[in-house]
Amino acid sequence: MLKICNLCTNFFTYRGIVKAVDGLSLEMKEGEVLGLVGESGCGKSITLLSLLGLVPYPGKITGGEVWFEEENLLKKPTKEMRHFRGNKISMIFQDPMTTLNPVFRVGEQIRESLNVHNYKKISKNAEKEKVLKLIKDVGLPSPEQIYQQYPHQLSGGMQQRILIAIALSCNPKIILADEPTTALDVTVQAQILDLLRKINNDFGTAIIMVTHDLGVVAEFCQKVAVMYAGKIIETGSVEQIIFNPKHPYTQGLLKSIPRIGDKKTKIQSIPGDVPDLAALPSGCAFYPRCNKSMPDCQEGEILLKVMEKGRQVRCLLYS
Amino acid sequence: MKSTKILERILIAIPTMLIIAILIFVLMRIMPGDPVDKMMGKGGNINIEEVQALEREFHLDLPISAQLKIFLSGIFHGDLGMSFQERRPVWELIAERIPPTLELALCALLFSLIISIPIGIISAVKQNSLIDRLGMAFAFLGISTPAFWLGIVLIIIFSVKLSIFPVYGRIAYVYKPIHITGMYVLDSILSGNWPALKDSIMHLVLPSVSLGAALAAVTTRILRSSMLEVLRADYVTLARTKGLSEYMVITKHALRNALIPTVTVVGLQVGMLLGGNMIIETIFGWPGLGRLVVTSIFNRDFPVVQGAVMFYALIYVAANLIVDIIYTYLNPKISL
Amino acid sequence: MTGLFVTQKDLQKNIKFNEKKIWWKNFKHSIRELIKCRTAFIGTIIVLSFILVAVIAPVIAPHDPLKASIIKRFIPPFWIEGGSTTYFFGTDEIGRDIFSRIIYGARVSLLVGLITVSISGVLGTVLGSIAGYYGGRFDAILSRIADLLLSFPDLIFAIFLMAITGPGFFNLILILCFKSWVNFFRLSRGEMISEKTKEYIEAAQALGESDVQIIFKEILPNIIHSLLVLATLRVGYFIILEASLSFLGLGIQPPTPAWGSMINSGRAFMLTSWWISTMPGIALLVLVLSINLLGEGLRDILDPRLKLE
Repeated sequence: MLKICNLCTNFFTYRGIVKAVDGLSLEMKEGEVLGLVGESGCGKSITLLSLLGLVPYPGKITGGEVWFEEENLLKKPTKEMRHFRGNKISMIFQDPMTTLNPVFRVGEQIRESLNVHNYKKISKNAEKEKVLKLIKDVGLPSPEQIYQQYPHQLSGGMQQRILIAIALSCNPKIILADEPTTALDVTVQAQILDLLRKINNDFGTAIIMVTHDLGVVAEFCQKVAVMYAGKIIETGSVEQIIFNPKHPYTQGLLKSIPRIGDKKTKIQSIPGDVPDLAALPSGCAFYPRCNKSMPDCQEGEILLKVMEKGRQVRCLLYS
Repeated sequence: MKSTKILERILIAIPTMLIIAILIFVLMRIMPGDPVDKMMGKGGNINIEEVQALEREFHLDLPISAQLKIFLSGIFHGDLGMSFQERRPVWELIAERIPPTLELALCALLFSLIISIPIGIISAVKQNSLIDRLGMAFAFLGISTPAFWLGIVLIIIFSVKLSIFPVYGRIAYVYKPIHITGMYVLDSILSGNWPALKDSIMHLVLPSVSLGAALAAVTTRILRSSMLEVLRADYVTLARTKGLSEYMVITKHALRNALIPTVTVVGLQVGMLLGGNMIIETIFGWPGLGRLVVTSIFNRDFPVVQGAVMFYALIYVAANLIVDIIYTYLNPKISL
Repeated sequence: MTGLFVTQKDLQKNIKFNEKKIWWKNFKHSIRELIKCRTAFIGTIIVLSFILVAVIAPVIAPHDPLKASIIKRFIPPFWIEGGSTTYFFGTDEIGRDIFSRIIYGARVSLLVGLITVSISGVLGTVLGSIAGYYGGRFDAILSRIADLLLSFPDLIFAIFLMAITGPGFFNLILILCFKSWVNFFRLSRGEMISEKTKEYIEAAQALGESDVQIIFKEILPNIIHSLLVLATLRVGYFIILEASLSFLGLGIQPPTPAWGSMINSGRAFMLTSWWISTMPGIALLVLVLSINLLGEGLRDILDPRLKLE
């Protein structure tokens, strides 16, 4: 259903060209749940925005193809892309308080989404009915009341549900979720994940969940792709990644999560810092921090090796 | 519920106005210069009886406390006294001058909004483009130019050298429309008097531009900076992901939010419009309230000054209230 | 630091020394930044030139600004036919050289602007800091007075008071200060209130600093940048206000040259001798423009830099 081929998005800053997304390729089938994992600044959010063609200045999509329902989205003019945004592909964001417009009522904001894609020209009242139903679907009580509220009158969890309602309004094929639970309490986090899972089950909506929280990934995703410095460095099913990580970075990530019953006293972290995307060294970007590195890692481009179906690693250890 | 809050605000304003009234009263009487002198005009013999008659007429022979009492009780009856110079009720004088001043202030406001809103929006959307830089340069000039000098220069260029706009007054006498509101533009439209409409607008252009330039500059700058901030907000990105056209994103989502701080600043500038009136009115021979106040202060015409200042205070309170009301409509987080 | 233990005095001496070093470094850094920002730099240069010209006016001015001459009336500026370079910008309605009058007029404008801002700035800041820090009745009363004063447009207020006191330089300054302290009051009070709750104040109190010390040593250096910006912008505003008052015949009285009254006297001759009104206005415009450029530049320099610290 969705096939990303070699997506390249660069930011042209005064400090140099930042390759935020560097040759990214992914595939998604209908109804799949993919987790996109990585540290802050590795390009996960930009990937999502690139799919919708909404890369902010000074960024630009410089290459690749995005095949969605037999069409290359990157080649589409803005006017046609608007038909996809919010309609076939929706997005939800991290901080619902800043993502909802503070001056409009939440019901209106959901209805707006319906209204933009109101190709059948249903009446305003019919739209309102749909909105009320959506509010109920995302698990909020008294839809009539909620409709009239302003964002600042709702709690964080409720706001996020509204965002999900907006994303859901036109029955999209795929929802892009950019760290939707990071800004919420843990208990609310679980509720939102439950809601998303229900949507995935009931409506068959595919979800790409961007997160840096491996716990969320373990609980929620079916497939996982790990990103580092703008490139995908490992993909696999969630069991494969969690129990048998191959790339040193993935291994490091998993080792740094403290587990209950662990006898160790020191948390193992990955040494070093996130690389400066404007000045990437040649060869593997993870080389300076890797404990399994070899001299060859510094040279040339390391390619993604396919181990088995759906399992890829970008590391010389496996080439 | 909202109307009670409004009422509350009005009631609180009353003691403020009273304090202002008393202050003005006292201050006027401290001023050097005898009003009766001014009334008699220069030259000529001073007839003691005439002076005494005048003093009696205007209660100037009574002790100050008594004068104050008369003044205050007069206010509550809507009687602001009689002008020393013109021998007419103050209220009448003021009422005559309100429409011209109002017309000018409204036109200046309109002019500044017409200029500042599009430029502010476009400058923010196309940051660092030619329009942005030019717009900001003009805005900067606008806040640095003294309004009265701008008026004079505009007259020199457009009236004297180019002869496009007339110099003085509100309208050529022949065109004067029927008196409905006192505002010639409105009156001409209401009575279908097209030559009058044209002439009154021609007379309005230069003064409105002089008065409104500074306001336009300030508004453009603040609108641009709040738009810039708003356009970076997450909810604008969300609006785009919903599939809205860029136009809708800017005008519906971004502008509403950017207007909030803008309205606050513009509201504060309303006072500037009222204060700046005086000089512009003097330059353009506009028969408005500002000129009345200035001449009355010079002539020690107490009642007129008192009445006019009270009126200004009233306007200021009303303008503040209106701005607050508009603000609560724009920003749902704040209630009156 | 001698001895086994570090005493309070040693700590304070050290802190003071470091503070001085930091302050000087900041100052040098600001100057460097100012030079980098072209528009602000130009603004500063022009302002400094005006100040210089005003100070050495007797040396620079080609003619006596007060000398009238019936024969030499209405001479146009040198680039127009009939003008000459002796009377650079031409002469006014009683034959005085406009260029010299503009130079002397700069004195008046700059003096009024700088003195007013200095007095009202200090007064407003002190009052605002105290009101913001202590709150209570003092704050409440002063804030009400401030609101009351603000409810009048500046010009009407000034005209009114000038009519009571009569025109003149000192009266003018007095009256302008009478209302303008309010802006500094509000700003310093607002900043004081928001700084008051920050942790470094708690730390200072724990160190045993008195309230006065806290206000002046701790908080004030942190809020001074926005006060400086406000002060700079207000100078331009007061120069225009003074010109407006002189224009109306209040303010600085003739024959002392003041740009406002020069513009006013030229009004009667707008049709024929436009330069009498226009030239002083251009000087006014350039000065205020440069001051504003400087102020905006200061705002850009001081603000983000402090955030970086």
